[in-house]
Amino acid sequence: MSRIRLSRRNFLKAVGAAGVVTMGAGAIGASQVLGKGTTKGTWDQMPQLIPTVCGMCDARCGVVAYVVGDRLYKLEGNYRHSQSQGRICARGSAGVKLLYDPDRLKYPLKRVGDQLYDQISWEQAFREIGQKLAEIKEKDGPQALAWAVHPDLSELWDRQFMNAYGSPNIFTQSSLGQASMRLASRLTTGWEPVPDLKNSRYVLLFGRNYAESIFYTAATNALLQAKEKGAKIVVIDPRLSRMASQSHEWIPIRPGTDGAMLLAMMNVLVAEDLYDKGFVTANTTGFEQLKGFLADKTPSWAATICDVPAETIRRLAQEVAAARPAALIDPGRHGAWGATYSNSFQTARAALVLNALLGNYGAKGGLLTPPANPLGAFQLPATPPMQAVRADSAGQGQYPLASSKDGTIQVLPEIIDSEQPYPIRALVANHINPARSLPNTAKATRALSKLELLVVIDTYLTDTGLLADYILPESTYLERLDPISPSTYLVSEVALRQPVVKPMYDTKPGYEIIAGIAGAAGLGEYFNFGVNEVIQESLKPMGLSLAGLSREGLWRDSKEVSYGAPAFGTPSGKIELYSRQLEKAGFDPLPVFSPPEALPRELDTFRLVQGRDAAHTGTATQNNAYLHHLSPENQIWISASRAARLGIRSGDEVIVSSPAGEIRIQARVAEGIHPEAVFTTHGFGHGVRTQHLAYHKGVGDNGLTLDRREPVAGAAAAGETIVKVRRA
Amino acid sequence: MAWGLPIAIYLFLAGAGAGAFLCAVGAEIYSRHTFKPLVHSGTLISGPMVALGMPFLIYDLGMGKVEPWRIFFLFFGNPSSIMSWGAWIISAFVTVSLTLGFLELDFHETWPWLEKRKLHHPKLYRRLSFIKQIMTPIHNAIEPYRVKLLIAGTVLALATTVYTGLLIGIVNSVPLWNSAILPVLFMDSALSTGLAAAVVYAVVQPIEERRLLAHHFFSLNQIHSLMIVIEVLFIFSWLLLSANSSNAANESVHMLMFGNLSLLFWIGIAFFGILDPILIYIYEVLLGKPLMAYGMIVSDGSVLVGGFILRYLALSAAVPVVLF
Amino acid sequence: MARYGLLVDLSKCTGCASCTVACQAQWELDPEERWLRVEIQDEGTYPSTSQRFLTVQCQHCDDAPCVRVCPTGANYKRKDGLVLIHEGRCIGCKYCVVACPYQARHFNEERGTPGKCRLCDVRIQKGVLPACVLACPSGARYFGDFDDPNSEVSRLLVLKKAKQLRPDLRTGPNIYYVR
Repeated sequence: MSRIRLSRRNFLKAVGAAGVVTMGAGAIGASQVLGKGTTKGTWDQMPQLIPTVCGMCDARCGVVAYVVGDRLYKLEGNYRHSQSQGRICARGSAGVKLLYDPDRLKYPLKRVGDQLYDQISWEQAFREIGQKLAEIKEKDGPQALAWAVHPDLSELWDRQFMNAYGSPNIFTQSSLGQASMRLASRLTTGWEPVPDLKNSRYVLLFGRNYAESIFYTAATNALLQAKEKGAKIVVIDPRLSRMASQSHEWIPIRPGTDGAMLLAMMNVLVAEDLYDKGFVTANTTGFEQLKGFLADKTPSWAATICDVPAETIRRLAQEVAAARPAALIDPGRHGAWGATYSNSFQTARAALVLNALLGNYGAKGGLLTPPANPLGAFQLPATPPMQAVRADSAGQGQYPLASSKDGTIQVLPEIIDSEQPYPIRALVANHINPARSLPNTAKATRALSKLELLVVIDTYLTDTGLLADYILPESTYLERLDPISPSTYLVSEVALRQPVVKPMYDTKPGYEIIAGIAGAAGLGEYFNFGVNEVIQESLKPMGLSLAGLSREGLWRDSKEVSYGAPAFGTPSGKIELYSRQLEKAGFDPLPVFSPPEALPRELDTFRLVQGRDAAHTGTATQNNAYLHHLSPENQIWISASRAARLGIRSGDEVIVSSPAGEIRIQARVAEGIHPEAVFTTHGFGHGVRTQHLAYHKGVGDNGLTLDRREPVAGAAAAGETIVKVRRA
Repeated sequence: MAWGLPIAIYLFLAGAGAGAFLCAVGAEIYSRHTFKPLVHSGTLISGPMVALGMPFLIYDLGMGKVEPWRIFFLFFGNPSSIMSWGAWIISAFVTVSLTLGFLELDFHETWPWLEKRKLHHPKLYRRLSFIKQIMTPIHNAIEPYRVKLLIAGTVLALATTVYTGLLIGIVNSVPLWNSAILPVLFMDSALSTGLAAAVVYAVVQPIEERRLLAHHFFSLNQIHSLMIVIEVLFIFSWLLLSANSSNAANESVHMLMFGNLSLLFWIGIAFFGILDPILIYIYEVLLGKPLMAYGMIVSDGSVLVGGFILRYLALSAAVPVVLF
Repeated sequence: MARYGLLVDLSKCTGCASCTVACQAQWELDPEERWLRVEIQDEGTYPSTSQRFLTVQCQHCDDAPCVRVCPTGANYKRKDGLVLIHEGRCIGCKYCVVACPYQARHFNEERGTPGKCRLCDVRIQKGVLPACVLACPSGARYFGDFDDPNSEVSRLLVLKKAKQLRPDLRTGPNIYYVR
């Protein structure tokens, strides 16, 4: 047996090897353990959940705020709210970026020079504005004050102020968006129908963009659920909207001619005996006159007008009739007949009448009555009777049927400019941006500059704010307790908008601002109430308390959606296919079609179509960090065929001109647009440097539109705008 | 793509450094005496070149500047990652090549640049001479292992050239990279740029070395021209195959040849990398004699420029697969 | 244990990006950082033209390229199917960013590490749906365990013949799409 000699050399070798092995093992072992884990964030903390109502668009879906400490972490849908059902769109989630936007207005401002502002106290702001208002009333009468508001939930205060002050000139944005449709509904059925999309088997959408405009998450959800169950969805639109991409058929139509197509479809229903005779007999008046009127409105007649094949029109009429009564023409919102063409009112009527022929009012999968408003009405302090008459003659004279509550705001610049019928010296713009939202931006800006007093109440400094004498910062919807929001969807439901964080900076809710101005203008006695009292009064019929409601955030009537022929709010108590009211007022009692202003048949001449984008609400959201990065700019869509002949490629800068002005904008060559149309998204092109993300991104479309009124409801007819396009 | 200029520089230096080493070994095997200047310069520059690439790599790391000790995980974290292998290979190669480069330094001879400083900077001269003196025993200690180190170095250099191509070659999210030709193309490019770097360094040495190199210039140029011709074939095949394989690869090729990278492609690769050196070589053949010094710097310098731009464009032209 | 994943019904997707922003809000991301994106493809010519929408995020692949190429082992696949990142280990080499065929990773320059969909791991462990699934107005997104044959996603997978994205790349993704 030989002994292994442990020489020093061998010993060192062994130790060395052992050392290496140990270190290696240690290294591998260490690498298994070290460095594990992820970064920490607010998601690791316990949040407080506060239900409230979203304010990023007019849908007012119920949302839930996750609050950690005194900071808002994020927003989610409130799964119990019928309008959101737990879902939340991109704009809703982006509310957190509105609340914490560093570009928000922080304190009251007074203009002291061109784009030069002084920070002032609320007390000073109210005092000076009150004083000025008293002076103007003294000099030119109370009607010299106009008030523009995009009503959110505190419309009560805006109207109370104007009533107390004595001016009838309150304007909402209705005539820019939905006035024609609303008046048509009132005169045809007496209320604005709500489509029962989930149960429908066939849905015709004329321009109605459930995928990109005012985002009722529950409606979009219902529509796509219906599609999943086999319902057919057809979109008729000059542009391939995202809604059109998700439908079964996209029918490109010549802009402004939807009315002819609707009449032709009715012609088919009557001629081929496909309409619901029983329903028509029981629930409508004027069918005989309608039938005679429809005789010559054939698909061939409509085909040349609409640029839609006669066969397609006939087929769609047959298909929708085959699916009745769970088949509907969506009553629409803005696009095709809300307030877009001179014929919009009659076109909206045509759609409602066509639905009547399908017998779908009150049917499952058809059009239903809007839910009853369960809120109690707050008894406002009585104001003196109104002496003055409206400056835009809404509700009288040439526009007897136009809403005197909403007015026709698009003619306000003309009134200010011409001082006809009388001068308007002051304007308060609350939650609205007339310098960008009104047609004919150049004219609107000129008129606004002419005012002796312009007061803006808003969350951002806007283009209107740049022209204002006083800019008053409103708290965002996440910092406010607002009057109760009634649902406009299928069930009777109310939701509470309550603050999720304390008001930031030196901001106030809009109603407090109005009450403050009123106090300083000597009208304090008419504002001896606060929002709490209004809320409590509105909750009384339901036996709820504010404290109780703030836990759940909403209350719903336990009654389910009911079907069956509804009551109609018309003089005859039935659906008025032939409207005596219209006849009496001197308008066509039947839904006639008149084409839009003739479009010259030239290669570079187009009809301007304005529309929406899923990331933005009007002019309000372009500075929101999340939404800006989804959609930073707008472009003008031109059809591939025309673009090729004009030598325009995607990305080229083009000059678009109309009688109202000229804009330079980037072109997007698209297959999905009718060759006679160009399309752009509304809301871009802000000129305010302090809106750092939105400043000079994209271009404002209203630089091109004209301030017209359609004859019946007085709605804006911006879709009549004809433009020329050329490469820059 | 997330990888840009710093990584392109790193890949270029790693490839050229390894290539220089391989050329030195090849020259030594062929005839150490004949190509002595090349052996000397190739061995000397290979280690520093690869080492010079490492700061660019560390600069490109997101966490490299903030918590550099995480580089420890690079070696032990995930044995199936090619980048982890690369860490081992490059570390080992740099160690071996720097050692061999050290061996190339002759501590017995006088160093003229040191002698120049004897008069005017006596203190510096004394200190540097002292260092030179203690280097000699270290030199002698390592010298016996030279052959073993050369073998190890050759294996590691080959591994390095393959690694630079394989790193992006296995990425199946970029069809332009995911081609069998790419690793081979990069290998050839490494050899070519390595040779060019070694020649450039050799040419700027004292005149005696240059003359020695000049004698065998034609055979050197023939080999180099062959490498470039092979490179042209590889690039051509690479682009042709890519253009016909998938939408993303086609887009990449379009970008390179006609699109926003075309200027760099035609000037950087086609002209500097290929045309310029080949034309100079042909001119010399016609002329019958080599264009000394400046001629070689221009032609081999162009090869270096072309090789770098090849790596840079390979990274820049990357287009990810179409998902629709 | 489980194989969590998503099923996305593209026949309902309108490309509204509600999922994108819900994810950004959930993880407090910078507006430029997106862990979930909408891709749009135009097809056809007028008047037979349409747009198709596709939402892309980390597919939590069974054979994830990002896990294979990560030199430090920072990327790993959990037993329940999620592919996650040990952020303390990442050196920011961006190999995974480059290697992902779905380009699902966003490299955040400030953090020095990549970010990607985590299948809302902190939410699902509490039994709450991922933010993108909950937010989708169209109701097009579903979450569940593909190893459970009775789960909603398993049943829908069969019923609607849902498919993976680029199965030819053999990454074994766990997000299935209905066209």
